Amino acid sequence: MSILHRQQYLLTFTLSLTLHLAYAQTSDDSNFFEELPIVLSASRLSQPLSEAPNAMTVIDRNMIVASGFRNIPDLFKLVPGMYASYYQSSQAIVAYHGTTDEYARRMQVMIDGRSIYLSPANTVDWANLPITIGDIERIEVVRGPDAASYGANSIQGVINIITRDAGSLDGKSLSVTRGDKGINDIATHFGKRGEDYDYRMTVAYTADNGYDNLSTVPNNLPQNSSQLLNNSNDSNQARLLNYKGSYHPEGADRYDIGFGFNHDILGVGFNDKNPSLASPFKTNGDTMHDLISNGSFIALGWVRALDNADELSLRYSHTRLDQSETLSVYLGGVLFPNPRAPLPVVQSTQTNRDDIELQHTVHTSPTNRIVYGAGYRVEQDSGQSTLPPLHLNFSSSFTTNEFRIFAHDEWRFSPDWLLNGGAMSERSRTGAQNVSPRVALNYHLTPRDTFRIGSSVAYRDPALQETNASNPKTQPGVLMVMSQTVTSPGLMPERMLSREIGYIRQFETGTLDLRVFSDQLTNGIFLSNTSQLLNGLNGNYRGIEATFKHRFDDKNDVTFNIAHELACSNGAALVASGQKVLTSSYPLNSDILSASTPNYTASLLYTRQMEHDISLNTSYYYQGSMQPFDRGVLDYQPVEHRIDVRIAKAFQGVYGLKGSLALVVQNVLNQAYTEYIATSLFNRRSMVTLTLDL
Amino acid sequence: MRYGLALILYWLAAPPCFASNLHVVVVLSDNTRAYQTFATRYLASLPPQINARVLQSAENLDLTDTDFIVTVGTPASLSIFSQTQLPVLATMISSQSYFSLLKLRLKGSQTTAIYLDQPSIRQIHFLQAALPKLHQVGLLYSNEPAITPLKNTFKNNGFTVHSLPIEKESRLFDSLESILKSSDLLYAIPDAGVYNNRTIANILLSSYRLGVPIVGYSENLVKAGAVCGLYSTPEQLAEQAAFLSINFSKNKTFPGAGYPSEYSISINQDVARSLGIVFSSIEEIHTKVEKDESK
Repeated sequence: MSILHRQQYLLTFTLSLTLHLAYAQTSDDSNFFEELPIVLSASRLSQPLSEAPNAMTVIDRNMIVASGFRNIPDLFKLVPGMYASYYQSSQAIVAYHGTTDEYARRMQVMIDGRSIYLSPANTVDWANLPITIGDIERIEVVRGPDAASYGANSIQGVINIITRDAGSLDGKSLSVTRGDKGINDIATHFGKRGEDYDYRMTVAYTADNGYDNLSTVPNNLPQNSSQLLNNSNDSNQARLLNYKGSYHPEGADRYDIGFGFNHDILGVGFNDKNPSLASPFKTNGDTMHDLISNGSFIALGWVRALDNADELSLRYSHTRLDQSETLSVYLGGVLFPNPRAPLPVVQSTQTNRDDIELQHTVHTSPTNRIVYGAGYRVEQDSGQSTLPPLHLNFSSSFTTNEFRIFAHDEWRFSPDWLLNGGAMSERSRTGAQNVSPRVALNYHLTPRDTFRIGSSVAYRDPALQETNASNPKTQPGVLMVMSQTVTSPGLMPERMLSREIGYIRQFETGTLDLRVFSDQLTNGIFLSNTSQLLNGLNGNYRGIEATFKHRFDDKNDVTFNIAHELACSNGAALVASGQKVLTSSYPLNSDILSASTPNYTASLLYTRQMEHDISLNTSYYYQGSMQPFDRGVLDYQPVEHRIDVRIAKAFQGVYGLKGSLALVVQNVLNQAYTEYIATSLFNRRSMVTLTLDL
Repeated sequence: MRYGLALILYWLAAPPCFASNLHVVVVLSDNTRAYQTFATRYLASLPPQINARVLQSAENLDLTDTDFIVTVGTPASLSIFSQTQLPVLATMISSQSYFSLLKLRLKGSQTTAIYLDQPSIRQIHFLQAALPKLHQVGLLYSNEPAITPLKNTFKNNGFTVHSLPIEKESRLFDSLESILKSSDLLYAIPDAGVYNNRTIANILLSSYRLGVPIVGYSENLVKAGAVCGLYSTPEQLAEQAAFLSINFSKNKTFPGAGYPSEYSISINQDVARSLGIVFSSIEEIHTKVEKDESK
């Protein structure tokens, strides 16, 4: 190559390299006008308290961690006025406004928009959720009826559990917990954020031995309550997995998939009714045994972001719960099975639910938004009961469907005023047509002060367990196989009329959320003397609730909740008219509804970040005395005080590892209190959790 | 708006001052919608005495009887700069790209530009007017030299900057989470190594989860989920380009390259409400930015 050619070559090469480099540096200019999908659309944005049409408590991830709770139902102790207790160790009862019975069924509970209220009892099996507490991003609790948005079952409130996004985790983590009462949990979480597909998955095992067997009688009860001793069979083992994926190709569409499975073995039953030397002919149809549950779900979703922040979504879910139990029973002092009758009692139930919902969010103007849609649900419930001691076999099967349409309008008719109005019309499984309206007006007196006034009507459709009682009526075990024929004909939906005034103050360093309310229950369903369920229980709940959040500085904050509530009903009048079943078990209060509602509940959660990546969390829980709605006086719950402490240290670089070590001591002062039943005595317990980010 | 009014006044009052018909070639980088919008508004803003024809690309360039060229977009500037000595008005090009490409320009050629990006001090004034209580600014970038002046401007105006480079997109989210934990706002810059169609969903969701608002650099980013943004639209840039073209017809010269005079502010009220952020009105913010800028 000649020198001239070499120079020309060099010049050409240099120029092209310069151009290439120049273009490489300038390629970002297209960013200014790059089309981007609408990511934070209406369905992904949570509503601020000052904009919400009803009272709402949000339990976020930081609070969940700080609480040190291991069981999801315990989190509701952080909601003013809410009752979270346990029948046995993992059979939680979460209730609001005095519905403190085994089948607390006046609140809707959802996971990622999928109702987990299941037939036949229309209640939530908290032991069977296919998620761990670590999967939860936040929980939104609507305090008060919200049937206009969530339909039947939400006549006292709504719990909406929102799990972590598919893209919330990029990597792996392992968490191991060991503690008192046989606490033995292990969970792995892993996930990947991709260019157009994100997923996360959890595989977990949780186990505990439940409450201690009592060796002394609690609550200063007389010694003849010794039936409480050695009467605890409430261990729990759950093996679960869940998966959440989100496909979001460039453009306006997002496709979600989720599925989960939980295999649970729960200790149930009691031995206090077993025959003894003193009572050799007793009958016990619920001896200690295992309840085997397999719960699963699949959820599919399509969300299209439209112009003007509008949105169209289509969601489908299938939920399944199979349960079975095999048990021995004592019948008139005779144990079955025995050599002459070798077959045990075997019962099983299957529930399947398919639900589909289409929803359109549309902004008709910059100040007006409408959400409307329709949903359809098909539910199949079946059960089989084999009762060899009685030479009986029962089975039943039901297929029911429900249809709903709904519309809500959010009209910001001036910068300071927001009017929310909406309704849901449902055709329930019993054929009842219910319309549940709601209206709320929010007024921003200043940017920091908001007043809210609202009213709504909600209905609760009778559960299958209520219209078709179990067969036979005194069915053994814990599962319920419903009668194929209607046992309580003419049962109508319960109705709740709710009125409230709220005030929200946003401080520089926190918020105050205050409300007074009056909820009026009519057509309440109760068990009559003839074992038939009837409408006719009327009640009124009035009270005041407050949440105060304060951030002292970047490293110290506190959340304080308090609720004062008074309930009254026509219970005493119904008793006087002959309905002795509604007799209050608590001798000092003849109103069964009033006695079952604690007058005061409170909670406090303090969080402090200290040096060396150490955090300290302290929480306090208070519950006034109460008589659980459907329990005897033996299970009267005296005042509850409980202090929990969590101390955690985050580490990085120790043997190349990153993670945290946390110690949780619950009821640190060991002020033991009884839960929903007196055999569930909550005393001090501690656990250690090691979490490694891998 | 300002240029729209000026253009109308020119049309009404000053036909004699135009020289004989001026011929302009508008070269687009491609058929991107923003470029097309620019061309449409530019043509509509010119008086009849200026004849403009639009080329959809720099291929088969015929510059016969052309007085000057308007390039729209960086690829068009890249092609044109080294091809002709005719005066060039580069538009829809960032200041950084313009300086990179300027060295390709033939000596003695008259060249100017209306940048696509905003001056740093304007963005500072915007943050001070829109989010006056937030001072911990998070920055993610893939190009260290380009970000240094911006970081300095932030620091000189009382902000604390938390910044991390993104060397590989696979490490983006570790850096993002680290930045979000120490910042009270994430200031997005038009850096394709960080913010692009693949990453934007998870960036917006992560920041929303931690309650940290993102300040965007484009209208589309604000629509996608950034809480607010200040930017110039293609229409505003086209009107400014038309104004400079009319001036050229009188003076046969262009002013020096500069930032856009006109800009828009938008707020994503849904996101703002959800994060509990209360903004002043857009008009108030705009007025305050202009006032601060004129000081």
